[in-house]
Amino acid sequence: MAEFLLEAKNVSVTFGSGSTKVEAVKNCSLTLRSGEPIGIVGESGSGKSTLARVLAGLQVPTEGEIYFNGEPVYKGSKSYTGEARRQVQMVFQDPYGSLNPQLTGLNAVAEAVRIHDKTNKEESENRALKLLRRMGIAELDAIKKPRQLSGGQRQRVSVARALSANPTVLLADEPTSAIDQSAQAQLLNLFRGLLDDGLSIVLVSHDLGVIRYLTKRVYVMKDGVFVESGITEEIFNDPREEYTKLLLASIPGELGVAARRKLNKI
Amino acid sequence: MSIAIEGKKEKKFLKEGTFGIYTGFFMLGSLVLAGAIIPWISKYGPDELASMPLAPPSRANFFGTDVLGRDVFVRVFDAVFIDLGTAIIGVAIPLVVGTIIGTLLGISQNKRVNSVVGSVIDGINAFPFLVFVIALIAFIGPGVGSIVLAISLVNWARYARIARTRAVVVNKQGYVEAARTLGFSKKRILFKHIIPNVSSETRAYALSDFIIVIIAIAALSFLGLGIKPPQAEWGGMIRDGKDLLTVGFWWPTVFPGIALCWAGIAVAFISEGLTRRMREVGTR
Repeated sequence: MAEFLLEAKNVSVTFGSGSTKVEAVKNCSLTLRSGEPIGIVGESGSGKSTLARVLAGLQVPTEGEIYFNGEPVYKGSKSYTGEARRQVQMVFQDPYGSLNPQLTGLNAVAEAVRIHDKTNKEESENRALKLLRRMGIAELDAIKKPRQLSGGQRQRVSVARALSANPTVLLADEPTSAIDQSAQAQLLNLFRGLLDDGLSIVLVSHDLGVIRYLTKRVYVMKDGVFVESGITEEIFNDPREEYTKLLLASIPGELGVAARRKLNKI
Repeated sequence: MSIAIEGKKEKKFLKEGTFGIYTGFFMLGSLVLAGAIIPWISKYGPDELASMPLAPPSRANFFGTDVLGRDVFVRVFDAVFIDLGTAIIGVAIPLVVGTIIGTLLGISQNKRVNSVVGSVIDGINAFPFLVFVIALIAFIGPGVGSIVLAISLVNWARYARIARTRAVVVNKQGYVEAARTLGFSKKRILFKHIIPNVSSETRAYALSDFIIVIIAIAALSFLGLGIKPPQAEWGGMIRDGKDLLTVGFWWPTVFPGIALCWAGIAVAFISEGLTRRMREVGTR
């Protein structure tokens, strides 16, 4: 058993070439232990979504390696072969694009269940319904097409679909940014419950409140580089880097107080 | 003001687009039904001498007779299946071929294939549709088979262009990426998640294209490049009667013309109705 469940070593991602060259991620290293919730925080365009896609096996890194259970994830253009594929799942940012408009929530989840459990239609639908119910989606809503569901409901269906594979790691790319406050709270509580069940979560967000609520460790990203990383509480109470201070000071209310005080001191 | 209120009232009883869809299907259905029944129960065959040449519409020959004395009524409805059937095949083949080729191009990473096939598509689309079809038929000769072949050879590129643009978008959607992380097979992702969402767009185009193709088939027969006589066909019948229009014999031309318009308007109604309904639903 490797020390880390998921590990990124010196990962860089470059898009385009010549004058249109964009370095989205520069030499980032990250570790995730089993059952641990970690966060990647940064402003829009800082490269955090790209890094999440690399971790999910959707974007081949230009440089560096990703290891899952000590095994390299990318082999040529292929990623997560065999059993490992099931274990790392992702929830996407846009709830409106993350569900196939042609399939009902139930069908979308049941399809994933059927393929992973190799069961028949009835059994997979039963398990899918169970998963959806756990996510707070009633049977009546499960048989609706995505266009009839709210953003929060869609996002919970996406989580149910990701969980249908029985993953050990869940990558959540800004899962709360496109849904309203009450739906956010509901989703975050769901994530809490999943953590209690032993799932490891990588939460990518620009919402510092969400990061503080859910994660134990956090990586602060700016322009494709990790500027600071460490225990979430420590970083929130005692930010070292100028960028982290600015980021934290921008939170209105109590959460940003420590950072604002620190900034004023300097 | 009153229009707005009326519109609101109507919405309560009918879903948006319902009127168009029902009217269109009624018009098309009645034409198909007539095409099935009338040649079968009629006294005269479509190629049979029914009366004097150019007899005006009467109780014996509802639409009169043409220059050879054939019954125009029977011939108009005898042409329904050949005209609509050719058009359906002429739309279905490019729809399927274009959607598949366009989708594959849209999701392919191979830049060379993309630029070569992309240039072919743009090249075909650069020519006016009918001109290109006529040029092709000049090579392969007239007839039903060559019409379908020529239309397919030209028209797939239009579907492929729509499908490619759409596939690029669909390929980046969360549900396709999720299907990849869930480890679904490439075949499943393509046929269950990408193509249905690409073809919703090309299928919508197919309906409006159907009108163009019906008219193109009639136009080709009008030019003598399409369906061969003596087979009754609207475009051919219009051509046969056109020189007589100016001397008062209007019936051999006007009735097939009405049938052609009827079919085109029917499909236009369906197409418009479905578009409105999709707009109301807010998604394709």
